[in-house]
Amino acid sequence: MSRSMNPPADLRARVLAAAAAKPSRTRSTGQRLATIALVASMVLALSVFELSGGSAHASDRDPALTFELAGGWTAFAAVLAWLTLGRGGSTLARRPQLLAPIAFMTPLACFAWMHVFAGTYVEPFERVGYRCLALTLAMAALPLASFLYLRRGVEPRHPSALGAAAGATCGAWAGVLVDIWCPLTNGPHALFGHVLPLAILAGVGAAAGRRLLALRAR
Amino acid sequence: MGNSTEEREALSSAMDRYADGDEAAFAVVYDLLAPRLYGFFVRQCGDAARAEDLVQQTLLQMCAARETFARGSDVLPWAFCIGRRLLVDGRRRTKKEVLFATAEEDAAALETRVERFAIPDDVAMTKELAARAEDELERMPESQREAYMLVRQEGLSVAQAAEVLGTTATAIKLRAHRAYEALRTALADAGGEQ
Repeated sequence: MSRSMNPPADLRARVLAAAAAKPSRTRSTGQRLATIALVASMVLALSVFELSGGSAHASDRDPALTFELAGGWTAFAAVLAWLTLGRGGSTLARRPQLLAPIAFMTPLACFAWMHVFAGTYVEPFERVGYRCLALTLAMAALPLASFLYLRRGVEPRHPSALGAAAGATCGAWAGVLVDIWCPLTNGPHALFGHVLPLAILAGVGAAAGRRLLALRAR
Repeated sequence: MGNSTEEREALSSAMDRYADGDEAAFAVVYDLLAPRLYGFFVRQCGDAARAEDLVQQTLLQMCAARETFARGSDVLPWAFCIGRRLLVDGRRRTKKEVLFATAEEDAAALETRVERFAIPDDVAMTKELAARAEDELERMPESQREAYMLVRQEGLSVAQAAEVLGTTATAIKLRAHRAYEALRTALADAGGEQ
């Protein structure tokens, strides 16, 4: 059986005319927008961080511990970003078998990493973690919204898995700054203030991804 | 269009130029891709008008998403993935299962070709085999049917089919092989009965 079949001659003219009638962003424009979104996200996150007291808020903890905690989580967040945003040389996003575990495992990995440091120093105060939760959500909101905007309507395979992984990745990067800011690593605080926002962001990413990233009628 | 390295590179290069802003390159993308997509859609939905519409929608989706095209990447898996999604969404909307509806038309076309040269017994046997193949394909799990269809019918490589379906090359090989074996067994049984 021949795989190719010649479509009617008038289809070519119709498709080319429809394409010309709806100009789309070129790759360089897309890259410029992505760079602007990235810089704006970083500026916003750093502003929120500084307005909340910056690294001085965790000054009662040994700086070496803070460096170790945030450094390890930065490496984890970098791997997540590579897995979620990188596409391995393809135009399609990575497989859902890879993206879905990112969304599920990131909150668990966060708890496990914080647990490594829990009890290794005397915590300066006790907090439930409302501010850590709010800070993570605030810092992750813009990069997640930018990702959803820039990739809207173009994901043909598994938009919710991609959205969930993007949410978890944005949360992980916000978590880096929150780890520098917050001197607490005990279990209950870690669960509420650090793990819960990651789960929320993954959930929001999945729901928003399903609606926004999926192909739209043209 | 076949699936040789030169053809893949030509398509990828045209898409690259289009993604970089060369509007004229979209005509090249159309010329290289549309016959392949049209054949796929006609075989899938058995309706030339619907196939035309799906070709147009697929190409316009690619056009709208050109900024996301990864430089030098293979265009076929991306195009088939979009096409498959549009097909699946369309079926969901109409709630009408038409997968492999064209098998009947294929059988009819085959019958017409055979009739000109063959005796009536051969025609009857060909019809019977085509019907058996169609039944077997309908009975298969969707994952096996899709893998078989993309690799055997549409001529995609195992890696390309894996990209379209979002799974591994090993899974595609296994699914396509199972589908092939099921079809072979069904047709051998039908041949034996004849």
